[in-house]
Amino acid sequence: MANEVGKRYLCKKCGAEFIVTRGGKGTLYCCGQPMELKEPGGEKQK
Amino acid sequence: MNTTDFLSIANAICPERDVIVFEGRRWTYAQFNERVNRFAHTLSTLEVNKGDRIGMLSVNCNQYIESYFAAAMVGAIFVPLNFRAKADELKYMIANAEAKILCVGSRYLDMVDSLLPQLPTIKKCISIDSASNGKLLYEDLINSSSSDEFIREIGDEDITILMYTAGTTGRPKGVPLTHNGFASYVLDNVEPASPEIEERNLLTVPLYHVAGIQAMLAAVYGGRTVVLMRQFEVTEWMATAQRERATRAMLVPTMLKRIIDDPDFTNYDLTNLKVITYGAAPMPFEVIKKAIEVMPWVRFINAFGQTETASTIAALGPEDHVIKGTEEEQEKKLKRLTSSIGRPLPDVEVKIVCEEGSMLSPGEVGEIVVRGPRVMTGYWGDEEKTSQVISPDGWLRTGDMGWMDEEGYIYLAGRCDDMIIRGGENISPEEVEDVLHSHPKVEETAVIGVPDPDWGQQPRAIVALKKGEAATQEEIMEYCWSRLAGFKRPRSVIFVDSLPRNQMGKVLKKELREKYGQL
Repeated sequence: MANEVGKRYLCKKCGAEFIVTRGGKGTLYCCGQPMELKEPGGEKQK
Repeated sequence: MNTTDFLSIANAICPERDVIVFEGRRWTYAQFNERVNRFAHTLSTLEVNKGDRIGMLSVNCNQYIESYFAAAMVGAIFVPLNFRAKADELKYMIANAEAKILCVGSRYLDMVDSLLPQLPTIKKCISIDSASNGKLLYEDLINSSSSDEFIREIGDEDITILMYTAGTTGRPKGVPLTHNGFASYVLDNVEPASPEIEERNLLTVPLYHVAGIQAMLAAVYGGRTVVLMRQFEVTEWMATAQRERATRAMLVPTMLKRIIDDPDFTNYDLTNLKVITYGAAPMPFEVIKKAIEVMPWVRFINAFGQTETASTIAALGPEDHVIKGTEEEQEKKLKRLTSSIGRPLPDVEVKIVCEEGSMLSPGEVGEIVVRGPRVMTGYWGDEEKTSQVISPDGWLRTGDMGWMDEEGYIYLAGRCDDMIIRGGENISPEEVEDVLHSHPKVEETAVIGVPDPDWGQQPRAIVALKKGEAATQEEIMEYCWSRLAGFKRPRSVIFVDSLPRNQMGKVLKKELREKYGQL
């Protein structure tokens, strides 16, 4: 899956989170498996 | 992560978005990032090394935020100075920090000129907005410096800010805060920048206060636009919020009260505001109750923290400001809204302990203590004071008394220093103040202890009545009889025109004790 700027990816195995600051065509992997796209949201602080 | 990463990440994601709007001027993330890098090169040219201190004495302005990030980039320690401090206090803070560079706003140039001969550590003085004899001019420095990306290795545990906090006794204490202290907060509590989400954060809280710095850093990390005001002025605040369609704001309680009490409040369109965070001083229940009523579209957040914890450690969230549900649930929420500071944030450990340091059970009043990456490294150059507040295993004593309920909500019970002890029983001034605030004639109030030969101390209420109102001591004391346990009721009342407060709206109880604290 292509990576777009600002998208965040989560590793379901170890909990690591990546944020894309420059997009690319590759797929992000962590712990030997593709990372999942994390949806923005949830009320957070100021 | 260090704080410069907040800017570089947001700049990579939304470079064309405004990061700062200030007095009609705007800078995008890309433009701002360039200015920061230029000033970082300036600092390097001025031989600012890692760990050197850079003082900033100014009201809020774009240069303030640029200077902070530039200082962070070179690994220097930024020292925001209270612009309301008297000359003697400023001299103390600058000398204590051993600041090498001092950046000064035009309002304070004369004062600084008078102090400079007594500040031998200052090597260079930079005037940030107007030419001044013997001083470098900020814009000239920016324009003549390289715009290349400035790179220097910065450790996450390096100190990024040295902030002076006023104590109740003695001199201000320097509080060193690390990059990680702020990173820990934003990573766990703030959504990072997104190309799709645009928010505008109206920032009027002074940047010399940790609440201002935290709000600014959170906004930059979140890719938001910081709509910056020099200082708070109610009409300008409302006009700015309307004009810039601010979606978020951080206010201290006195600011919120002035806004909702302003006769022109309904003439401004503030419906773009989604979130108002308040803190830095206790919020009177009547004020937040009215704010919720007159701005029902806003989600309110009560943020509690202190300088020593790099700001917010507990929060009462928006859902706790909505009084809905069964009668029992509504009562619980009202109680929380009246006196709870919410639950600890995910990146901090908080507990309530007795004097010996043992953890107390829910409902028991003790001191609130905090542990985690947010806690300061220790008071600057004062190991003795540090050892009094930070235990060997890293627990910081906040100096605030409180208790926790079964669901983890923390309730304040006053400052350790302010606790009144009458006949061996503790009286929380805040509890008495909450009752007094509910009196229809009372505008503001504070409760202090006065010596008593029989009881040790007695509570005394200092009361400012609403305009046009009159009341007697007996009337005020009688109001408390049915609402407070006998030992908590004020035994005397003093009427004043207004309470002394600091810039952030906190009542200066020390002053009240000095003036009214004797029999």
